Amino acid sequence: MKLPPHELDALLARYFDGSLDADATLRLTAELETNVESRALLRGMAEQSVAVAERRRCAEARQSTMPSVLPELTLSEKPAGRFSRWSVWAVAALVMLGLGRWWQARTPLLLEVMQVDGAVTWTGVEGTTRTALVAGMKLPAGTLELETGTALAQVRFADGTLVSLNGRAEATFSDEKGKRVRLRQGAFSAEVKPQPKAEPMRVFTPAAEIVVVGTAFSLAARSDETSLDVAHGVVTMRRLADGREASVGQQERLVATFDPQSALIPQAQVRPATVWRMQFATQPAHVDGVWIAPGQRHAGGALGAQPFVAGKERDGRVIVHHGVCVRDDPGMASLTATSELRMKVRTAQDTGLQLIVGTRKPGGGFGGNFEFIQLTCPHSGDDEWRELRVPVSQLRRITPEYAASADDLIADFIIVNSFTNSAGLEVSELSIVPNP
Amino acid sequence: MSSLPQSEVIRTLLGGRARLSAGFFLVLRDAHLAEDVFQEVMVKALEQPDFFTNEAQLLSWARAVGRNAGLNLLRKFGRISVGLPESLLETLAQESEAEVGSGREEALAKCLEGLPAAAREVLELRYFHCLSCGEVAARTGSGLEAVYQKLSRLHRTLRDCVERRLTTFSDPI
Repeated sequence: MKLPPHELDALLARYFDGSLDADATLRLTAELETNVESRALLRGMAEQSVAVAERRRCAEARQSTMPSVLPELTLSEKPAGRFSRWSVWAVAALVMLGLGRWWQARTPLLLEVMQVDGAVTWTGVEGTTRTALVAGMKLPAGTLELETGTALAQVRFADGTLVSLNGRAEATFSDEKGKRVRLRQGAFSAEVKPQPKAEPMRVFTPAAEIVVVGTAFSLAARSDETSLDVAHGVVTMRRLADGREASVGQQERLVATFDPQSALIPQAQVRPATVWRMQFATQPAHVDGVWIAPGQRHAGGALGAQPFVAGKERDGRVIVHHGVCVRDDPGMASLTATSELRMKVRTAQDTGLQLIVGTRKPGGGFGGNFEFIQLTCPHSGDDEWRELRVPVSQLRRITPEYAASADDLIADFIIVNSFTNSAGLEVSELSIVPNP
Repeated sequence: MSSLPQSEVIRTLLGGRARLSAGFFLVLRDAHLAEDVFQEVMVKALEQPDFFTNEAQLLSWARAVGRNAGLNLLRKFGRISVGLPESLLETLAQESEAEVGSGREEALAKCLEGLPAAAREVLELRYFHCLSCGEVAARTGSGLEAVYQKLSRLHRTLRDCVERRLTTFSDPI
């Protein structure tokens, strides 16, 4: 059925404004899929929008002939894109090249950025901050901070040692008689080239010190616990609570806490089962969300959405989404092609939902992030829960350099959120099951 | 099969710049990010000598790579796209390609020139300065609905102007 022009106009204007809800997006999609004239209108609007910006860029480029000083963006200004004139690009490139060389000359470079996704900030030891990190950029000693649950950063030392951080994480890199990493929190994996025996790589976390001569391993650091999984080679882990050490070998795992009474014996890595379930009758550990105790609002317990930083605008403003994030150590479930994610949710208003699944590889290391965004949840009555099911095969990868599908990976965390809409989202159960 | 020389790759992509950027805009809804993606596509294309055998393959590759780069940028900035399905975006891109050589871009430039300054200012606030409609409303002292309606009217005005110019100049004298 063809939409009346005023309704189509309203939908298109809101679509371009990013304020169209999921239901209206479906209505617009149905209209566009069936109506060639509506598609022509949409294409025309896109062409016009790009042409407006291009026309103004050209006008500004004409006015700013060979600027001697490039204007600096302030936080209150929105970035105005790149000038189109090659001459202006060339001047800007030369200035940037000059600045880069000057910067490189005064600070020894330690790392090369290989990959960045999400809100990632680098802060140098003298306080310089950089948010626009791109592959190929060289960095001196400093701190990398990943501010969102789906962020990732991969950096390489000059000898080829590769380090990846993913999720909310913070790590300081330096070189003091060997590579030094202070991992305050987050998931960290490394493929370490052979290091001089007298100058091994050392990774410090709140609960442990890891000494590496050459191997591949991954760490998950929290304020009170550090878990180490070794893919190959041998890594020495020292528990800071009592100074005891243990060697962790290939396919082994060791967890260090602040409890000196706990055993410090490496265990064989065990691949999680294909079935996993989490309910909230008791207060869960390592989740982001507001725990709602049984009887408080519902007969069973639940986890309520809370605001979290989902990303950053180019001008530094944060983008706030509302949702819950659940992790389970050492991984929730092994995913297969027939796995299905199920969630029991309720919302106070009609809303679209986004599901994000973070994974790791069975041998350790980041596996990739996946999402499903075509979830809608009508508002629920008191104590009315809706079960939403998403087959793993329907998940779409959001980290292109990693696995194309989540099959054969291990689910590490699940985020359910209602985007910027605080829709009163609550989750009473999450599970992963093989769908027969 | 012989591959496209680098000069031909550049010529083809620059020739398709407006249509490609418009396709990326449909994903990103930000003209500057769409331009950034176009430049990224250019760089990636030039990094692959001997990969492209004809213009159609190059443009099809550019559309796909740009769309993916656009989705990645959205995620990087935390703007999750409650967007149009990929199959629909591909249909739109193919329909846009079918209009190659129709003089549409030149007609659009002329039509933009002919708009009253106040109308152009609203379009520039929205698409050059990337203000949301709410911010445009606050800046111009209008209501949000009024901004939506004004933008819709301007888009239809521009579309009618382009169609008129194309019809006028393609009619035999």
